Amino acid sequence: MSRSLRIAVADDEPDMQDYFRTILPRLGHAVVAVAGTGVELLAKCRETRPDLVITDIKMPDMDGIEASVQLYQEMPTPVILVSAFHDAEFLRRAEADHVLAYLVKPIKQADLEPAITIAMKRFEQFQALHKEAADLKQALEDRKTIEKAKGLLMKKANLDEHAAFRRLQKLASDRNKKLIEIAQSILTAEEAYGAS
Amino acid sequence: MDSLKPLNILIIEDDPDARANLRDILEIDAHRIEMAGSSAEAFRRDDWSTISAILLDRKLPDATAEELLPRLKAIAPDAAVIVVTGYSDLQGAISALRQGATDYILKPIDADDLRLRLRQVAIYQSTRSALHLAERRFRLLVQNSSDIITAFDTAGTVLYQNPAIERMLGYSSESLLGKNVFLGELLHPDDVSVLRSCVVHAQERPGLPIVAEFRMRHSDGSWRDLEALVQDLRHEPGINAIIASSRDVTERKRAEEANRASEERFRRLFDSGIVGVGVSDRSGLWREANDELLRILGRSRSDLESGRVRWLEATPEQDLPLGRAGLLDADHHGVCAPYEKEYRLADGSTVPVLIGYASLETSDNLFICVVLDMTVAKQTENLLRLERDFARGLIEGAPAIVLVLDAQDRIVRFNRFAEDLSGYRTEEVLGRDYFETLVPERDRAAVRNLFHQTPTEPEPGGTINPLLTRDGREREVRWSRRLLSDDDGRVVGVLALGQDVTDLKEAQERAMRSERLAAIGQMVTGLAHESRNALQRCQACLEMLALHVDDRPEALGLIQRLQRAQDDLHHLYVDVRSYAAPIRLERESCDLETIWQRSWAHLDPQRQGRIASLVAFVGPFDSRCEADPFRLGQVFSNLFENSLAACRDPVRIQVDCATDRIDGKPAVSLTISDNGPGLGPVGLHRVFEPFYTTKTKGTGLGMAISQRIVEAHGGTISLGDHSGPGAKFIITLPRGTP
Repeated sequence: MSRSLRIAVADDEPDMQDYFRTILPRLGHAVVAVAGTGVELLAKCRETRPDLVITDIKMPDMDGIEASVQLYQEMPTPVILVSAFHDAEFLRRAEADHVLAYLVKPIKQADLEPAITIAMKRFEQFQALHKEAADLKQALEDRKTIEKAKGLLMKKANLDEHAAFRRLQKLASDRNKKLIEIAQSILTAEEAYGAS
Repeated sequence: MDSLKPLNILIIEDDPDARANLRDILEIDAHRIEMAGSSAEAFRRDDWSTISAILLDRKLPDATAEELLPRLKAIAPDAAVIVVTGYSDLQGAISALRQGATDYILKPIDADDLRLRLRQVAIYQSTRSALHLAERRFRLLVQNSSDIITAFDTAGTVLYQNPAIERMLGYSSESLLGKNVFLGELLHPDDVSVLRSCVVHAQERPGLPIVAEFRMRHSDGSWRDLEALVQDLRHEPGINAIIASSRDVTERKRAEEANRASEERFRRLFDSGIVGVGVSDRSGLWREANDELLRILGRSRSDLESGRVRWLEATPEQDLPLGRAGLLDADHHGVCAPYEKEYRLADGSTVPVLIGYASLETSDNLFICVVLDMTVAKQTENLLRLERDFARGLIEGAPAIVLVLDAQDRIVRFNRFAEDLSGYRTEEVLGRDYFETLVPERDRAAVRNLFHQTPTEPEPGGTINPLLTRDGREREVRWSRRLLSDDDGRVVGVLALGQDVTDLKEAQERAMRSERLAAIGQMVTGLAHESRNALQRCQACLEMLALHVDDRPEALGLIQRLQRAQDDLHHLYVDVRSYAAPIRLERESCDLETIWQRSWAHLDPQRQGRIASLVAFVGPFDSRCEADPFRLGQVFSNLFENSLAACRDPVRIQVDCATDRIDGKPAVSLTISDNGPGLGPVGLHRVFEPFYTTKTKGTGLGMAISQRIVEAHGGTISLGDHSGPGAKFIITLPRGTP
């Protein structure tokens, strides 16, 4: 049994709104927002910050795909699209990486349950990957800064590479700071001198 | 007096002495004397015609001479009346002369004088009688002459016309008296001057006949040609007129004209150069020949004139009997029936000719010959024969039926193509009723009727109707028909050209089906979309309802049944949509065996609890081809599902592979068979028909969809031979993209 989710749903059909309201709690989830249009969905999501969005595509004022694109820009949230249409055009538009499932109507409870589970799993994986990528990127940036500071030390203090690195490590250890912070301080100081 | 005849003289004198005296004198000359003492006595006589002279006393007791003379002249016109009168009555004598008396004599009578005067009367009477006779003869002659004799004066006024004119021109002779011959009444206006100048000529030479030709109108309106001798006979005292003696020469003229025309025609024929014409004698010598004949014979005119051209020499040995028979014919009948022969020319070449001749009436030795050069005709005949052979070749070789029916619908002509298509040999169908033999029974009456209404000219487009082959199959034939008529325009039959359009018709039907499907597809796609929303709402409500009644098992049972119906409906929509929607293939290089194995694996749920096996004989066979694996998977799934549904356990499905060709390009042929009951007679015909199903579940679109998919690949799916048990399908797919 997966964890309980806070879900926002959108469909212009009252029958479907009732359906989600009835069925999702039986699957152990909470329906935190019910919308009839794309605009309403966005507004309610800003308010409630749901874990998952299940939305119809064809709705008045803004369709489900457009709404989910905007939502993603504001807060990355997993989306399951439910639609009577499965045209190539819709599929292409729904290819954004946060759209994690595309269900073709009519759907049953039996379809929803695994779809939600899979969607959440995928989203978590996706988020984890995202984080990992971001960490790696940061590490790469830090590395570049440390290298620059090291180079500066080697030049100013007439040290070899190893000695320069040792000095940076000692400074970080003495001041109880991260190596990157020491490196940044050195570069900032150099910038101050250089500016005179 | 000697030669003169004595006269019968009547003396009318009241004085008896004078009477006796006169008688005495006159008897000297032997005259016969009659006497009367009064006019009354004289007029009692009845022999006036014998009286040639009357001596009439001027004064009678009952009448005077003046009173009597007119009566006497009337009763005896030829008698000469001499009035006897006294000197004192000379005046009365003169008046008597005026009344028509011939002479008078004075009393007292001088005997010599009386005798002399009567002698003169006798002479006069004798002359007159002779003249009279001659004139009578002449008149008879003129009256009965077959020539038209007309007497007219110099002004042209008709003085006399004999009756011949009535016979010849239809007018009575009296009606012409007093008419003017020069007025263009009877005379042709153009000929007036001709006649006038003739008359002038005649007057210049009196007595000399001048010939004139002119036309006169017959009373029936026609013009007649006349030839006349015009003679001025005014110097003849008995005639004193210009005489025209005319005869009708119309017939003669006509005969002359006809002769001339015939001669002209012959001359033209002779000169025309169209046919050779010549005159030859029995010895075979050409006496005369026109240019064309000389051309045919290859000789010159100088050859002919020097007597060196002989037909006998130009006639080959084998044609001589023909010539002899022809001559015999001409001897007996005047002409010979034309016949064909050859002339052999000096240079060794031969000329085919048609020849005919007739004997000349004037000589039994001469023949007039007509020779027609047949070289061109022979060439034309050869060309015609070639043409005929060509037409026959065309008819026999044509990739179309050539059918000719007579007026009783019997087959008269039946070409090779018709044989091949129908399976009948020509000799089997000749003379048989076409419609009974080669038209399916249900269409027989209608097609017969159609053929009977065949137009004279072939109608554009033609009509399509079926032809029943010998083995009972039907072919669709597009007929173009026209009536055949004989020279008199009577209809003798129908010529029909038929094209086998069975394949064309099938292709058209296929095209129509796919067009129809495209239209249905669009509609169904729309319908399927819209219905998804409705189905979704049903589904939602069903599930919510189930939550409400989860403590009531019977209600839940009903909801389950609703759910099944809803699922069936959903499947139907999906199937119809995939059947009708346009198929867009996504081809890739794939292995057919992999595809069918995957399909078989997907059917795992249906095979639960069944004993079923799939046996494939692939061996070293290369089962790869360019195809849409998903779509082909549908085809295999359909076939396998059907087999599983139809067969009882143990189910055995077999797939055999073979190489094949489609339109000369490499292809794969798969035979998929099972060990079930087979399709049955109805299924054989309808298996690919949409919505045909033998299963209690299923939309009946599976095989129809499969057929569409295979055909979209450029392949075919058909039933295998159904002699064995089980169902057998053959799928042929091109290896590459068609």
